[in-house]
Amino acid sequence: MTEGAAQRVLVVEDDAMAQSWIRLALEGSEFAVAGTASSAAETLDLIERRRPELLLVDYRLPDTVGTELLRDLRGQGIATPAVLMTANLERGFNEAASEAGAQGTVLKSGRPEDLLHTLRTVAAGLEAFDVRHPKRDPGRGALSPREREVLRRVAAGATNGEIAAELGVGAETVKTLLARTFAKLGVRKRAEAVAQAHDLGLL
Amino acid sequence: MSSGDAPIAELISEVAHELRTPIAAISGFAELLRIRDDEHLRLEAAEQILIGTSRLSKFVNELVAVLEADAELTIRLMEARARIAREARP
Repeated sequence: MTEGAAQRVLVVEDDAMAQSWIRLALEGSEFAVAGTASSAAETLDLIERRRPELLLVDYRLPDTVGTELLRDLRGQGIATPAVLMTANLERGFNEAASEAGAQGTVLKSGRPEDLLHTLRTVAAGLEAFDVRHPKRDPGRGALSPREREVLRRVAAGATNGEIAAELGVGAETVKTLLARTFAKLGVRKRAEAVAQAHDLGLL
Repeated sequence: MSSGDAPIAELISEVAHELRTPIAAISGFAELLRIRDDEHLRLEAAEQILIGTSRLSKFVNELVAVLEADAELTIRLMEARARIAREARP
């Protein structure tokens, strides 16, 4: 594949080892790293400056989770196809990624062919969700007890800070729990989450 | 799972992530070394593998230290309970 035909991939990953591996794994392929963002905060600026054709986003970022970042980007009208990465097998990860606006997922297995296959499929306009992630349980099982607990407090009108204080956890944990809950319910706003949870009988 | 188990599940997920990320990277660099003959790649991959093993080693040492402290605390609690039980006997 020639340089001119290279597809430009923006990597959103804070781990230096993973950044280095992705760069080397893509070397010599039809993909080129258009830039690397170490946080969600850096991502929008890099997208605007580098105009990538694909996004490769780690799930665990220092300032948010990958699904929440994608949701924000989609909300801002950025439709660049995206692949979410994670090191752990997570039940319902594919569903959460799809609901956040991703076109694919890939497990950080260290196999360059897995990464390339996923990127090629998504670059071709198809979806490529890693089948190793167990499927989400339907209905009530979709939310963990802690997520339901947070949602109940949201329904009661509590802020993230108040929920954090009530549960004795950090504000970031509440944010992560809410992001997961939103993704599982396929919603974007607190009011939608509460309404959806009521409809599903989760509260 | 009870609501009290959720923080434990989160902690396990964090620990698994901290272990799996460097393991996947080390495995990935080894795989690249296996399939490509490239001097630049060889040097960078070797460097990263060394960084990864050092990172894993530090993390495992920290885990062992936590487990040791936990075990020590458990033993002290058991000793204290036995002592209180002895002293409570008429």
